[in-house]
Amino acid sequence: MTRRLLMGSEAICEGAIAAGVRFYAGYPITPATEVAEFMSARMPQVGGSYVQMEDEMGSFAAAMGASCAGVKAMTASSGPGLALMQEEIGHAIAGEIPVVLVNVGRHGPGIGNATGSAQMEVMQAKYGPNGDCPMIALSPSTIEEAFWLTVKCVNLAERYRTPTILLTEGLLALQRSVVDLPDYGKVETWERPRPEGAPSEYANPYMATSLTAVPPMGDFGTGYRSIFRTGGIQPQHGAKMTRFEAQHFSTTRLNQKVEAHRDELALTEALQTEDADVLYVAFGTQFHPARAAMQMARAKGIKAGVLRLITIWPFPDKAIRQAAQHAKLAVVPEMNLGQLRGLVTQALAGSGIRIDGVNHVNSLTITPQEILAKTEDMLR
Amino acid sequence: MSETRFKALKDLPAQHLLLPGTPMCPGCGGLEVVKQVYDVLGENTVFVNAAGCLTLLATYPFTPFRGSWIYTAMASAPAGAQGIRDALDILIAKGRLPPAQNLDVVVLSGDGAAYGMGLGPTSAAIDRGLDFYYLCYDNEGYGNTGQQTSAATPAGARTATDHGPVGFAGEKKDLFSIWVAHHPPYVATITSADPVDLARKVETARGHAGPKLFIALAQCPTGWHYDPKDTVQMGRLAVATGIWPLKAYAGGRVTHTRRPKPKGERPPVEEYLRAQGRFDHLFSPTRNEEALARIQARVDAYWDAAE
Repeated sequence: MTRRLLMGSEAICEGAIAAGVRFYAGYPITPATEVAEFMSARMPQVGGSYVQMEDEMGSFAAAMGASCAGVKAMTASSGPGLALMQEEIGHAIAGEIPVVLVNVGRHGPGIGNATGSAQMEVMQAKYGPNGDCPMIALSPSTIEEAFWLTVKCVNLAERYRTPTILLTEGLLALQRSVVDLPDYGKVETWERPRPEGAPSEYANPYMATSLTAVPPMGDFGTGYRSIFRTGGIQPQHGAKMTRFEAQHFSTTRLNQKVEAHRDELALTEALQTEDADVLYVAFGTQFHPARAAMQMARAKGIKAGVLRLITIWPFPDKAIRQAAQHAKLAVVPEMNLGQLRGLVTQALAGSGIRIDGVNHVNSLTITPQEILAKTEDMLR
Repeated sequence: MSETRFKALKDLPAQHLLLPGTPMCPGCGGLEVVKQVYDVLGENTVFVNAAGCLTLLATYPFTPFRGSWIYTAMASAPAGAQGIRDALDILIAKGRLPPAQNLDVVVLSGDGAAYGMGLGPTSAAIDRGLDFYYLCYDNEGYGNTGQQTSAATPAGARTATDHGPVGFAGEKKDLFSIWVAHHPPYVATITSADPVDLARKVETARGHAGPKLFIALAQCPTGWHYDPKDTVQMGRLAVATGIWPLKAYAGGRVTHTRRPKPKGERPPVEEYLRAQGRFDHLFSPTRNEEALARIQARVDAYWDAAE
């Protein structure tokens, strides 16, 4: 174990390195630039490769290329850069190519306030690309957790052969904190399924045997000829299918391979929710004011609890229902105009629980006092 | 270019259109170029901005511009200019805008966009014969995010993403030649350190309909690591050493508007390099003779071919 003072962006890079990322495609954009800068220094030190790309589409495509050649790959962006990447993300989802994307949230829309932190990509993370897409997106609340969730994003991208997003914020990526880093050799790393039989028996990287299967993919240059397609995928699962049945099967499987594991993917942390009349649902940096508000509320005799979402996608709706078992009302503090609140409302549909939000789009963190004031308003 | 009204410094506009008070870094070479170009073009100018340092000139509600400004995706500023030009033409044709109130449409683009992601859309705008000005302020890196390597970064420069002992190992892209290969009516390189040359070129460009493109050396104290008071000196050195040729393309011909002294008489490029922290590693702890000779040889070869 090593104790170090790390910037959030640096912890993300270290997590990626510990998880085996050895290719980084960079393009600067505030506040994600530091991830590229750290990687430009670190990749050569660990025998990896940093490449400066011409734009965000290029960054994501380069990471896809590296991944197809068998190297764990990552890129990062923010705001308008994330918007530009959407087509490529869709191609990676359809092609089932593992790539890790770090989104360092900033204020929008458009260029917004580039240096202002925000949590405005809750919905875009999942619904940004065209088509029905699965998504795995994790959001850290501390710099140390940013290290570990980056490891997890890399691992999950590999296991499920799909792009994953570390959904973080300028506020976290640009802060510094003391972090205990593990011995990287002891960090658990997962690899994508790779073909095991003879190359002659390997047909394509989409040979799925069931709707939840993650078929093996052969690295370029290994003899396993892999044609990564993003459309017209013909699954070979033994049964004869019409073209239409095959399209249905493939599109459903893309989503089911992730959805089938929703329970193990949907990570949350519950604080005093067992008896909570009031439930705060928060993620990322805004967990901290929610927790403080909970303590202030408890001191006043209000039974409050917090459910922190570590996983944003697949959305942990079951955990929300569980945490809200005794709740009469729920408050969702978030640095956007209610994207998470909409999802919480959907998860608690029919429960009769009153739901409201505390929303900041001014780049200033929400205060516990505001959350408490909203709670007391709603209790009146 | 003797036909222009600018023959000496005293002929330059005495009134400046760009208002003082901007959030740009002290000594910004890009800002100085915009100021000088704006003065020649005049008030009837609309700017289309690609993401870059000069985005900071329109941090609403504060702006030093007297007129309008629009922001597009980083790559798409020439496309935004197309829409503006076409709409203005329609308004004039319908008599809804007096021709005297016509606007010059000017794209402002850093080298990150101009040399990189914006190159395709610029090419397309030239293909369409769009009547506009394109001003690339070239500070040889992604300056607004802290000077990461761009496609305009020169050989040997250290950037926020090229930290190695040789700095940037590639070569600066020859955007001038790429643009010239499209055969637009006018292409020129400029520097604010030679305001008469700059003004003459902008004035000459006005005589041409269609795409008029400029690459301006945008000396950058923040990214190049030199004292902001030396910005003008840095531009003069770039021209005198021959590393920044001042030239224009028109009528199918490239003309050099300023010539450095002949080889042997002009100052060596290392005078320019040594003045900037981004090239420090070429001089200390030991002189990188190979890199310095290579950079000098390239400049000499350029002027040998241009003689």
